[in-house]
Parts: sequence; structure tokens; C-alpha cells
Amino acid sequence: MSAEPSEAPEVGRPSAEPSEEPGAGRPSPEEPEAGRPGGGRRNAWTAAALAVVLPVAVGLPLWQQLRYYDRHRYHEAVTTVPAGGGAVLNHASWRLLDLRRTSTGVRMRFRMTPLDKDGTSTLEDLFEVRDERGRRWQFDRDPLLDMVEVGRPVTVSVGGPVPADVADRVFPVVRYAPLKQAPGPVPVLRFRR
Amino acid sequence: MRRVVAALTGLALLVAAWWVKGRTPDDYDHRYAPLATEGRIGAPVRAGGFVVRVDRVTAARSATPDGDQVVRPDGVFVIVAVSAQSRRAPLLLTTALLRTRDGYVYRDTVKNVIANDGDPVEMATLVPGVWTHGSFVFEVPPSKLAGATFVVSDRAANEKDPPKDFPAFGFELTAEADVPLGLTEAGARRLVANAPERATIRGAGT
Repeated sequence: MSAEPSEAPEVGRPSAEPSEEPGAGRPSPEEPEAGRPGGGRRNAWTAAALAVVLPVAVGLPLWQQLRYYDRHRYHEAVTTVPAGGGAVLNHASWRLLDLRRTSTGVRMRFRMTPLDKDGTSTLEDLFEVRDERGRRWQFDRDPLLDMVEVGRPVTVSVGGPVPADVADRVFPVVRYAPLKQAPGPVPVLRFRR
Repeated sequence: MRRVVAALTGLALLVAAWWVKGRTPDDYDHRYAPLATEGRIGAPVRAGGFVVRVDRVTAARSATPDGDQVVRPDGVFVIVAVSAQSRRAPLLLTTALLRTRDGYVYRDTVKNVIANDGDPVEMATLVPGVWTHGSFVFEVPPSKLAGATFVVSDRAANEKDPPKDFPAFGFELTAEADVPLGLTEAGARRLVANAPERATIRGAGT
């Protein structure tokens, strides 16, 4: 085998001589990209493609994560009940009878009427008072008040400690709080006094 | 000119990446460490959803809830009397521990429950605007007291030991209050030397 270079020009190897044909040669590497014929148009297409692809590539996963967070975070569907009015929560009708101050806090009474068999227990209901700053005080319910009759109204009385300076400004809340909460807003009744 | 700008930009990005990487903790338990708020004895510490104030720190060689039942520690009982309230919603201070200067952790044990006359403070529901008073009881070797810090949080207590080489779970970015007990070597010796033979610990109350 000879190591001598062949005299015949190799196919596909660019000629060392500059081409006579105008525009047929490759641009010098020093030549700026945008300066090439059609280079500016290519850059514009690249920018346009990036403008579409980047927001989708970054935004879509973010949006999915935010949607997941939003579905699973705690948020409430609040029904504001006018003074003297009633509303339905957890298969029962609720009406605020009164809210009064005690020596250590407040005590409130509700009239609850089960509308069907699923509404005969208050085990999955939480009783709270809240103030305008969103602070919450949760009260224990009467443990004997379980399994009442459908259609028969009962009085639910709950109370507990609340700071004296807010006892006149709190509003009663009944919240549906099952042991296993499905994703989505939690139904809440907020009673006006 | 454009190449110079590109090279400088690339270099700046490299330096920025190196700076960020150097300041990002590598291990999981540092990266997701609790968000600790440090305080001092006698001052309210706001941490996440609760406020806690360490009222006083005492020691005892034994404790009794009622005068009859006596609980004895391995080491010495350290009794951290606190006042606490929630800031927004009802909560429990379910995690409490003493962290020593050399990194040991002493959690409150079942003796804390027995020693309290009534519910210990970690079983008391804290509500906004109402101070709940109570005590955490730890059993600690006297030699570990100097430089110890009281740590309290509303995160769930870890009931089980984490797997080997794996950090305790459930702590990630949770709020906690860290209150150094301010005990020097001499102060710790004095606290233990002056510890009464028996302490009566009242349960939590408002």
C-alpha cells in the first residue's frame, strides 16, 4: 500500500481553491451568522419556536403541579347564613338559635334537623367560632348527640374558651369534617349573628 | 465583540452556578431542615402557627403527679415550664426535645405523661389569644445539660426510628422554636446540685 497522496481529486472533499462561482462557496467561520443569506430569517424562526416551546415546556409542568396543589389544599366553600335563617350541611338543616358570652368564652345553640338517614349524626361536624382576622376556636360537641331521628329537630349546644376581647365579635361556623375528606372544597356554614 | 460578550456571559453564569451550588446544602436533612426561630427564656417566640414562651427551667431528682406515684429519671429531670398559644387555628405542640451542644436529642418520654398532674402540655389544644401553661419533662444526663437548647414544634412526633442513614421524616420545612436554656457548665452543675428531691408537676391549664 502506498502512502503517496493520489493525484486525482477526492470526491466530496472541498477544494482548497476558492470557487469561481459567486455564492457557491461556504461563508468564512468569522462571518457573523446573521450576515449569511437567510441567516436572519433562521434566527427569527428559532426565536419564534423558542417562544412557543419554552413556555409550554416550563409552564405545563408548573401548571399541573399548581392544579394538583389546588385540588388537595384545604379550602372551603362557605355559605353565609343570614341572621335567623337556615341552611343545609351534611344532610341536615341548621339554624343558629343564639350565641351568648360565658365567663370564659362563648356558648352557642343550633337547631339541627336531619333531612335523611345520613344526616342523623353530628360526628362529622365541627363547631367553631371565628373572628374577622380568620382566627379559629374549635369546640367539642355534646357526645350524647348522635343518631337522632330523621325530620325531628334537636338543639345542639356547644361552647368553649374565647378571649374576652373578641367574644362579642366572633361568628359561629359549622364545618363538615369527615374522617376521609375527598379532594375539593369543604362545605362550611357561616352564621351571621 | 459579540463573541466576547457571549464568553463573558457564559463565565458569569458559570460563576453564579458555582456560587449557588456552594450555598445549597447537599444532604436532604439540611436542605429541608425545619424553619427554626430562635428565642430566649422569658420572651415569646413566634414560630409558624404558634407562640411559645419558656417561663423557667428547673431540675428534679424525681417527680410526682399526686404525691403517691413517684417517677425517677435516668439522670435528672429537666422541667421546662412554658406558656403557649396558637396564632390562628387550634393545634398541639406535639414535638418537644432537648438538643445538647454535641448534637444529642432527648425527647420527652412517657415519664413526662406520668409526672404531670393532668394532661401534659403537648396534649393540650392551644387556641388563639389564650395562654396555656404547662411543663415539658425530660430526663437528661447531668453532663449533657450545659449548652442545651429546648426545641418545640407542632409537627407530628416521629413515633418510629427512621431507617438507617435516613433522616427522621416529617420534619421538612416545619416551624419550630429553639430556645437555648442558657446553661453554662457551672450553671448546669448548680441547677443539678440545687435540684429538689421531688417535684410536683401540674398538668396543662389556662
